[in-house]
Amino acid sequence: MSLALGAAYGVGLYLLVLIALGYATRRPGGQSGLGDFYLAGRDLGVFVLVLTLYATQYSGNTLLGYPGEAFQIGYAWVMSVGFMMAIVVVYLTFAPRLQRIARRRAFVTPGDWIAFRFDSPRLTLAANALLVVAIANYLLAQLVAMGHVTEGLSGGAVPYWAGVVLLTLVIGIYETIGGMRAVAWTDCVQGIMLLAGLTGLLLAVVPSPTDLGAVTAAIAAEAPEKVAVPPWSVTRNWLSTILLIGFSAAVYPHAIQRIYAARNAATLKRALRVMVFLPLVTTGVMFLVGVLAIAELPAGGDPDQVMPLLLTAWSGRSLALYCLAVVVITAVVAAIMSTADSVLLSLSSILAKDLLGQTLLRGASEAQLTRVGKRLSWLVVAVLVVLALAPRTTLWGLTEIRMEILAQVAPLFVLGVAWRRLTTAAAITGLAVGCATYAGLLLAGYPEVWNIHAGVIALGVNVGCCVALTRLQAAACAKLRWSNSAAREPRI
Amino acid sequence: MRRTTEDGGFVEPRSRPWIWLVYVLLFGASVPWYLPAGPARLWFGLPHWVVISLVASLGVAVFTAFVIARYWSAPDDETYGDDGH
Repeated sequence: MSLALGAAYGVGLYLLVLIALGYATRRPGGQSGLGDFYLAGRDLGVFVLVLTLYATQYSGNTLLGYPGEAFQIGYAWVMSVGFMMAIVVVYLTFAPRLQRIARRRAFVTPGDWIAFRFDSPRLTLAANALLVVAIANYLLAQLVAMGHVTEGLSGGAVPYWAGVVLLTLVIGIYETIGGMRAVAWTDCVQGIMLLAGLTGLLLAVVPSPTDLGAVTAAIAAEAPEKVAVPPWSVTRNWLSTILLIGFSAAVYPHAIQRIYAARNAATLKRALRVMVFLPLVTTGVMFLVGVLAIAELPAGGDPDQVMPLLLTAWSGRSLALYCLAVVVITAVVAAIMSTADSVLLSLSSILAKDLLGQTLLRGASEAQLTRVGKRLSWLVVAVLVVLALAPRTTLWGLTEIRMEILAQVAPLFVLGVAWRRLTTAAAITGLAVGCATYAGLLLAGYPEVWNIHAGVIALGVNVGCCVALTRLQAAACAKLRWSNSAAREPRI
Repeated sequence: MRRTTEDGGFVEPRSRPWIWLVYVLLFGASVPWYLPAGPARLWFGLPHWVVISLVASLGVAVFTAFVIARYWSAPDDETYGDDGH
């Protein structure tokens, strides 16, 4: 049986399991409340929370794009382990308190925190607009990836458009039936598929230190720059990437909603303690696979084709490797779908509750907003599927900048939680100046300055504004109080 | 060791500067900016700077697990809907 046919059976079986899970996790009486539909009743346990965080955090890009990056730049791609850990470290700055407040205040969306903390409809609207732009692009990227993966892995038997429509339809079905419960439980299956594929890869293809030494020596002879200690230009970019991914991925709306959905603080603590080790067995394995590909594949090829080419080559060597390749292909589809379903659910909650619920549907009941949210999910995917079927649209180009947009929202969570004195005016100014700095650098043709991402520079400006303005306002208030008290003193 | 207790026993890592100093050191060690650019030695079949980076990353993971266990304490747990801000 060809690898494409084996993978088709594997993926087909997997899709049936997803729909069955969506049906099994539905509430018999329907989900009327926003917290019930979008946060699974705020009752996710450790097992489900770890796997849904894992499956959501690691997208198809991890399995397809990361080996290609390692193939292209060499051993310096070990940075992917550090920047994925940075996300959990950034969580520590705000998640403990946010989870506590979110539970007390029954938050559903990230905008609920911003509205509660800053009490500014303008700021909440601006932050929500940035989040929607960023994650709509993220979702579009996943839909495009679905099409490419199904077309590429089926050898063209399943056309691009059919892949996009079929997989989106499956996501829409189980998400409408079961909301966050269905998404979280299907994420579990998807997370297990990912771990199974990666563990199989680790056992099957990672060589002993002696063999690895031979591979490294061979790479050093062919392309010494891929093995050598990286120069300052690379290490600066490496540090910048840790900051960028750490701060932006930690405030993904779907990640914030998983913090809200944890059953309690103990559950979230246990989940994050596991999550912080997962980059070692996820991006770490993908890094090693990419490095091995340098020795195995001809130089100069398309980096995105590294994983498919390796799987095709390995599947012909033994039955075990053939089965492993089928599992990995299914895991790639799983990784893309698990990210897409979480992003779609999050997008629908922001649109229904924060945008419509505060404007056209002000005063609507939770049941009404939930119904509207379900319909909005279908509307959003319909629009994005149309865009995905013509991926040359300009929105696709925006995908690359979503992390840098998200980074500008990060201070509202990190500083907003950690620094009680941060004022609303300072937060609004920081967000506006940060976005303007980022846009200005991009328009001026500087996506990086001195190998530092424009988004990281803008984040620095954003934080600087928040701190400076808050301190200035505090100093002005102190001066005013002093003047008032001096004026009240009796004259002698 | 000073341990900030607030909100009825709620403790979180963010208020301890030394924790963030350790993170700066660990992440700083995971990026080989301090090594002279040039040829690498082989350790366990990998370039030595890759091994140093992986060990530092493992350090980040272990330290984070320790910090979560030791410096994040939330007396569980308010019932959903309580208003205790």
